[in-house]
Amino acid sequence: MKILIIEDEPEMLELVKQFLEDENYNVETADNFNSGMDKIVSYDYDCILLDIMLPGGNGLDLLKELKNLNKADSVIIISAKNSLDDKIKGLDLGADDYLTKPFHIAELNARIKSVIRRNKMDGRKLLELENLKIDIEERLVLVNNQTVELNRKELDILIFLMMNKNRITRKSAIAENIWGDYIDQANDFDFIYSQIKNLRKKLRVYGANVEISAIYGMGYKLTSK
Amino acid sequence: MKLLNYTLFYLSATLFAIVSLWAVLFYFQLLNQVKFTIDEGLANYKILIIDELKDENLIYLQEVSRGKNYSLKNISEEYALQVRDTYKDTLIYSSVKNIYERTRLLTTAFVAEDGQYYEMNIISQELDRGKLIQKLATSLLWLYLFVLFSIVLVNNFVLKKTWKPFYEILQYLKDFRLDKDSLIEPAKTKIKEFSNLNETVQKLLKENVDVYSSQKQFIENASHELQTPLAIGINKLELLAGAKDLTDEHIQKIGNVIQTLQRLADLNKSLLLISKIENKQFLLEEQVNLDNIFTRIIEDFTDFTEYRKIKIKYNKKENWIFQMNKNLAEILIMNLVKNAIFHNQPSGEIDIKLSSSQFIIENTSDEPALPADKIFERFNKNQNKKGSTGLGLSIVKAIADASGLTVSYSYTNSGNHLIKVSL
Repeated sequence: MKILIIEDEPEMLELVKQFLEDENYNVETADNFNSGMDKIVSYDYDCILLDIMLPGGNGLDLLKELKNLNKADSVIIISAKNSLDDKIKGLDLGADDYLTKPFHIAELNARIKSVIRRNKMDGRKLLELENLKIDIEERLVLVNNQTVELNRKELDILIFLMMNKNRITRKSAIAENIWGDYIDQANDFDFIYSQIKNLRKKLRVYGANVEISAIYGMGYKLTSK
Repeated sequence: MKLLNYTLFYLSATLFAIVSLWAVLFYFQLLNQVKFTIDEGLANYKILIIDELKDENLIYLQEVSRGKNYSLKNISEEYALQVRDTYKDTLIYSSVKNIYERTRLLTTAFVAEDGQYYEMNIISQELDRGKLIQKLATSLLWLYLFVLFSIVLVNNFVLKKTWKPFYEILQYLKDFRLDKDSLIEPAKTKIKEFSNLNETVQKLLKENVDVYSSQKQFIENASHELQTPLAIGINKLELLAGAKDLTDEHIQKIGNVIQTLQRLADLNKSLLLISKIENKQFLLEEQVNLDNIFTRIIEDFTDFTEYRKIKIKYNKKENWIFQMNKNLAEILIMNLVKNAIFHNQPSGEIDIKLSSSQFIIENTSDEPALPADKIFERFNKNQNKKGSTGLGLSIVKAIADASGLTVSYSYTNSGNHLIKVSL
């Protein structure tokens, strides 16, 4: 799985690169418009993370070029420009998703997985950990091929945790992912606890071999038992 | 008062004064002329009468001349010699009309064929000043109205045409939005003052647009510069917390640092939002259906309210559809509902009432009354609440101001906090 990061902020670039390499992606980087252009033209990637404000040009122009070349690479725009204009322009130009800085790296991880999954032609992809399987398209959760009944939010939380399995996922990242952007001003995410509690209970009842552990002051982590 | 009416008002007032003054002068002039003409007539008449009387017995006539328009009186020679022809106004009783009429009277003396001296008084036909004044006033009134009418026409056609460039630039300024428009060249005009005005306005606007865009740029740059390092810091700490050989205590400490940084990021985000609202960078306005927003946000907050066992009563009397930016409307309502939840007491209540031009959010709370004049100020926060940025209500206020809404706070008799948003 090849990913290209086009980002001018060196620390940000390094951070995302390190994170994605931990997730076993093959990562390449470009830190300005021209080197970004070179790589886009020369190679194919499964996903491109594209910053809009780049030295030497506008990231949206890279996106245009990519579409001119008829390449099918998935593109996620990453920008501090929290302006609706750029978002609409970017999505109009064929970007697959748009993420505003600052973002939770868990959120980026989930978005990358969804765009890659969406663009894969080889049938549906299952998220798997031990005996727990999730079919995202059908919104089905299976433990030992037995369907687990979850409500919408419990399922969304489980999918998000699965995409970030074996990592600590912060409560605020979960809240933003499930309840939307505005919720980040909610100050207090204790309410997530009740959802997690129900989720744990249902997984236990069906005998799933996974556990959701709480990390104090941070959030939750989904691991094998 | 419109310019058109303003000039019309002064023109008509001045004109009225001029016409009135002129009417008085004209009246006296006319009266003099009339008298002069009458007097001339009387003089001619005198000669005619004297001529006719040549053969008559004047002594006899002296008695019967009453009833005609002259009278004769035998006088002494000495008296006759000092009589000069005099004209004067007099009142004569008219038995036909039963009133005194104003006439001209000529008093003269002459010597007849018989060598006797006679004094003769001749009166003219009546001279009706009242009627004269009335006629004069009427015709002058018509003249005045006619001139006024002409002025209205002139005003409408000429002045409107003259002031057209002015109204154009006025409309241009009215419609102008710093954040929206690129500068348009106003229509050319031949009138020097107006083309001057156009140039000046154009220059002023250009300077403003430049300042505005550089400020906007600054805000965006500030956000870029601040948010990225914050995000990197937070994410790096997240990665660090995932490292294998950390103790729970370490992870907890990292968590605390992340929370602090997150607060900083939230603060930055809120400040950015406020400056964007105040700089009117939320342009797109549409008909916003507030009922839909309330319904959705209450639904979104269900998990919060259930967790805290808070009951929300939503009472829609009428829907309120208001022209504003939809994102701002959502943020406004979200902030208020969120406040009502987070500053509530456990098992508290929230009462939301929506009507066609206002909504009220009332919540129970164990917090005392808040200073109504201070709570919308920045960083005026409740010290007891951890994690509050102190900007929530400032955002609400900024949105209300930018959208033409009024927001007010009050503490009810039953000890509830009440926020009212109205037109």
